[in-house]
Amino acid sequence: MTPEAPVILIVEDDEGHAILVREVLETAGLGNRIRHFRDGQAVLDFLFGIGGVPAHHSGHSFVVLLDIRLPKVDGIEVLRRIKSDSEMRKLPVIMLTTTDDSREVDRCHQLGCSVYIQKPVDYEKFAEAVRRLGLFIMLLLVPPIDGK
Amino acid sequence: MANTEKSRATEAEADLAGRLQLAAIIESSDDAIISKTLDGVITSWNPGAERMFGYTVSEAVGKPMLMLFPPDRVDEEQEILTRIRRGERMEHFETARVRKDGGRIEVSVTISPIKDVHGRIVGVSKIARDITEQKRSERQLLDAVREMRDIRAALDEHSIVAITDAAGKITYVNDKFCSISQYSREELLGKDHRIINSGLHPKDFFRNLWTTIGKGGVWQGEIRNRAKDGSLYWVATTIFPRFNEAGKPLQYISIRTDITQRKADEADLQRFAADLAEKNKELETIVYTVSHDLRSPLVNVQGFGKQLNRACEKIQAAIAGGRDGQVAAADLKAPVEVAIPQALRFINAGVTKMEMLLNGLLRYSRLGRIAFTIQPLDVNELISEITAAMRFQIDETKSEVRVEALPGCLGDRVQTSQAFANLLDNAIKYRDPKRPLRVTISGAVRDGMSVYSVSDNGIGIAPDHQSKAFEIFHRLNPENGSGEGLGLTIAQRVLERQGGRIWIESQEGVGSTFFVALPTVAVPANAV
Repeated sequence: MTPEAPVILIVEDDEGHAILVREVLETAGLGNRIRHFRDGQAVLDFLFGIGGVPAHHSGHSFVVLLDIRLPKVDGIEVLRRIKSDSEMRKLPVIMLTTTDDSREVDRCHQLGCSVYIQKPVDYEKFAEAVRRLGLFIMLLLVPPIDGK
Repeated sequence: MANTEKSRATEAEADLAGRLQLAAIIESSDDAIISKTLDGVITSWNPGAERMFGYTVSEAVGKPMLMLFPPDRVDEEQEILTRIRRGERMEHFETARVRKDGGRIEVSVTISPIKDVHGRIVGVSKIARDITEQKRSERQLLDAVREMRDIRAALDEHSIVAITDAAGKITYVNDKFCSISQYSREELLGKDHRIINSGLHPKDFFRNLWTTIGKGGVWQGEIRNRAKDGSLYWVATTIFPRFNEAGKPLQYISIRTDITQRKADEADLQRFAADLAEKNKELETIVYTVSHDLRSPLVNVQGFGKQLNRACEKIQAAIAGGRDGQVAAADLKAPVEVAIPQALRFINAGVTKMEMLLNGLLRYSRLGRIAFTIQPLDVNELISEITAAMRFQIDETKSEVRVEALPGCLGDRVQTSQAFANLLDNAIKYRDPKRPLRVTISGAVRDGMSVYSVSDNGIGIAPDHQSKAFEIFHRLNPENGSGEGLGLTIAQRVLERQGGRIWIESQEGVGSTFFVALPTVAVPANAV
């Protein structure tokens, strides 16, 4: 059985940004399923389960596109939680944000984000970045989460 | 008779020997020994006189005594001669004379009448001693004493001065010492400096001081002392040890300057610097946040602007591809019904968002320029005004607001009222839809601050989110109604500018309590 294509989890509070990212990914020909989360807590709940009830993701794989400034739990905290979990740390996390603060970028890399892409205001550059991101995701062999 | 003759001869011999001896004494004396007639003409002149006045015997004898008098003293001679004629004697009379070379000398003279065997006054003897040097040292000594006195007066004008003996017992204090320490001179003399010890310096501090001055070194440092009424004052101190000829400590002179104000200013300065650093950090955070938040809608405006472009291109292509001006509706449907409205929606939303952010930023920046009127506030009255103004919202949401007796505080009426209104507004906005909202407002005085709490049973804030509650433009729940994410940020800034503080305690799903601390109004002593 060939592993299924990873599901792309877009964590983005701005609906417009989410649509633009999704469109560019589709234009680039990515057929992956895409799920959209509007805040950090929502994606953590999805990945880790709510109220101690574990989420079942056995056999699935994910790629996380993560904004930094998010309501409730911010992107850095989401990244930290993912990377400090023995299973979830396998997930590639791509920080996708308007921030270009070098301290913030360093912090994300230290926490183990795979790629850091600044959302350029220039649409063409933005599209190009996301397109390359799409290729990257396709090439990436994402390990599935082990069932427990 | 022979005996008588013999004795006469012996007498004469003895007389001669006596005269010779006297002559020898006169010859060898350092004092000037001069005789003159009752008319003031010099009749004898010893070598002492020669050395003192510079005239030889031949130059002096036969000349009037007046030649030795300086012009301002010529009257003296007449007086001297008058008194001598009366048989008086003048002893150690201090005056001035002039030497042959014109130099003025100071002399102490003893003047006596010379009598003949019948007791008649026939001349004047004058013994003069040159006291020019002695007078000069006397004057120098006097000058030195005067100088010391004036320096001490100047020191007393400027400094706090105390002198102790070798054992450290106070033997002298000046007025400034008494005034700053609030002790009288009588209370201080005989005591040691422990009387003003504040106990705020470590033991090593004074041990080091005594080691230094005990070895003869000058000690300098800043000391915090305690006055009689218990208040503290700072003095910059120099202690100078005095030793006797045997090298034993004699006295310690301490000179101090009151630097209490400087110390207070330094502490203020440090506080201001820390505040400034804090504000700078805050400002950096704000600039960072704002630039991110402004950029976010910009991404949409540009992104969806490009979508509009593409929609236009599609329509243009459809028009170009149409036949006889007829364009297939299906070709226009997608761009006109989906792409263009969506793009416009996001562009408009983005522009509105940017405008809101900029307005919020302006509102925030204006806070720094508002002039506050700090006055005692009746917070009970303030809260009842707020609840009255929000009556409609409270009733509409079936909420209940309970207000306990609240202490007064010091603050700006308008700004403090807005901060409380914001807290109540938040409580209503973030109420739990599953249960009716209950808000309790209470207060107490703690450590000089009136601490108020606004406690609700709303949705609460998870621990992770609590620290962000006061961050500019941060909204805990963006889906939940309107708001620009400024309310708590502004409340915090306004309260801090009034010397107050705001913080939060909350439990998710249970409720939140916001605490507001403001300087309390001084309670009159009889009200305690």
